[in-house]
Formats: sequence, structure tokens, C-alpha cells
Amino acid sequence: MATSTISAETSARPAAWPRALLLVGRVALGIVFLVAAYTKLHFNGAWHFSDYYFFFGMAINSYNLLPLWGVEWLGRILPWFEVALGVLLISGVALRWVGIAASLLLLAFIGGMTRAYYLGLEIMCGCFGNSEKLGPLTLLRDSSLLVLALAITIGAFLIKKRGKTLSN
Amino acid sequence: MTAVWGASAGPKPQAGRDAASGLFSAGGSIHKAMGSPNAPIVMEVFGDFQCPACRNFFETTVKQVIDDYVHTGKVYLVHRDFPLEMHPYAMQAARLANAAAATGEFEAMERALYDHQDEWSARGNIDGVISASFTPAQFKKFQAYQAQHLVEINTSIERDRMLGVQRNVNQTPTVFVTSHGKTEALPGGGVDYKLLKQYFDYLMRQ
Repeated sequence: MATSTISAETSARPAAWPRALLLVGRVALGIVFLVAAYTKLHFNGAWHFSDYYFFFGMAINSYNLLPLWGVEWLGRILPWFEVALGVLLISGVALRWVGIAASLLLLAFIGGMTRAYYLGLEIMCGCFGNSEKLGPLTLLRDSSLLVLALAITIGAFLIKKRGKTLSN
Repeated sequence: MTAVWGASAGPKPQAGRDAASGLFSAGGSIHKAMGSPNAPIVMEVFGDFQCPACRNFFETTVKQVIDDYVHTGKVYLVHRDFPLEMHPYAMQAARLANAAAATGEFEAMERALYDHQDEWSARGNIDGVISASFTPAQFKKFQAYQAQHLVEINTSIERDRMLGVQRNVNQTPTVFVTSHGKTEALPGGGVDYKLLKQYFDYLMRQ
């Protein structure tokens, strides 16, 4: 019967809104990562491709967490890692694994920031350039981003799982 | 190279490169600089003598910068007063430092203020603590200068502070580095000497 066939197809097709929500979420988080990278490469009114790592390294070092070699290494690669995460999130490529990487990175940031705040270090966050003091608001913002990253990751896994179930 | 802190005779606009470029002059501030004005790098430190982070930055970084870069003519070090309201004796300390600078003793005064910060910052007995680092005649000279030029000293401190406000300084210490005609703000709160050294060496290679 024609009516029952249409009804069965409609109930089997996944709803569109989870995918739309995932798209909005991953694009928003991707833009946040790109902005974060931009502020580390462009500041004091100019691009700093040749010396950004000195400034970012100084910000990382103020957390008193890493040895000097770690500070230098992280200072050099982190802005470009953020660029890669931003581009991959926006494009949606390997979303589950990119979501995991973004969540772990944000978790590491929040861990370092919480420790510094607990120790009473009066330092710059270093999250979006060097003009923002570390405090409750920066912690709240990064925690919100972590929630978004986790939601994207879980959403990407669920959609993948549902897709597999339907194809079977 | 002999390092000269302060002016030899009273408040005056910063000379040479400062006055010519206008980059480092706070428009009539008492001169509190060290090294050669022709050095390829200028390091400006906005500081508060009662701020523990400033003391830490001075003890662990600035002293090494003075030895390795200022005395060798590579860095011109400029102090800017930025006394914070949360520190009740910061202004008093800045006045004494300016009086010392105007009489050519800023370096010794800055060292004394930071080295003994713990001793005077609790109760504000700055004169009692700091006088021990100078001869009675020297300290009387600072006090006499301060008494006679109080308005000029306060004006000088306020000019430094306003310069900091214009440059969006919102914590101490805040460091600006100028080289090759560009001024860069370093992350606030002080910088580790090893990283600053790497940055200075990079600028010297440019």
C-alpha cells in the first residue's frame, strides 16, 4: 500500500536538525580556533610570522608549567595547530577525530588555566592574544568551548553510528 | 660603558633619540634611563615599586639585562612609573626614586627599593629602610630635592602613568621593546630572562 510505504520511509530517515546543529557547532568552533590563531600571529597592528613564537612563548612561560624547550616548541606549533583544527572543523573532514583533538586541547588549556588561577598567578590568558588577563571569565569561556567541542565529538560519533545502522 | 641613571641636574626632557623621535619621551618626565640612547634596542618597563611581580621581574630578569645588554650598549633601559592605587606606598616610593634619578642615583635607588621591598611595603617606612643603603649625605640630598621639587616630581610620575594609560598598560610590570622603528608590547606581568634574551638576540640579528 502506497500510504504505509511513505510512512515507513519517513520514520527510517534521520531527522535533519541534528546534522544542522552539528554544522553550526563545528563551524562556530572552527571560527573560534581560527580567530585564536590569528590573534597569536597578528598583534600590535602587524603580522608576526617571523617572531610570533617569542611573544606566545612568553605567554606560555608565564604559566610556569613547561621547561624552556617545551615553551619554545609549543609557542611555535600551537598557532598552526589551531589553524589546522579550525580548517578541519569548518570543512567537516574527519570530524570525530578532529572533535577529540579539539576537546583534548581545550581540556589541556583549562587544566593549565585552572592551575594558574588556583595558584594566584596574575598572568595573561594568552588564549586570544596577549591583552586578556586570566580570570573566571576566561575560564568560563574556555569551559563553554570545551562543552561545544564535546558535543560536536559526540554528535559526530552518533551520526556516524546511525548512518551505519541505516546502511545495514 | 658607564651606565648613567637619571639626569645630573633636575627634571628635563629626555635627550637625544628620545626627544628626536618622541617615542620614549613622556614629555618632561624625570629621566630614568640606563645605557646608551643609541643602543639598537630600547626596553621600557612600566613598574610599581611596591608590586611583588615588579620586584621579581627586576631581580630575575632586569638585573641580568643590565649586566648582559645595557652595559654592553645593546639595550637602552627606560623606567616608567606606573604606581597602582592598590599599593598605598607605591607613590611615595616613586617620588623617592624620581628624586634619586634627578640627582643621578636612580640605579642604586631602584635596587634598594626592590631589594628591600618586603621591609618597607608592610608599614611604609620607606625612608627608614632605604636610607641604610645610602650615605646620610646622599639620602639628605634626595629628601631635599623631593621637598623642593615635589610638584615637578608628581607631574613627572603622572606623565609616565598617563603614557602607560595611552598604551593600554593595565598591569605591572609591562614591558615595551622598540627596535628597527617598531614598538612591541610584551605579555604583561614580566618575562623570563632566557626568553627575553632569545628575543633580544633575534632582534640583534635582524
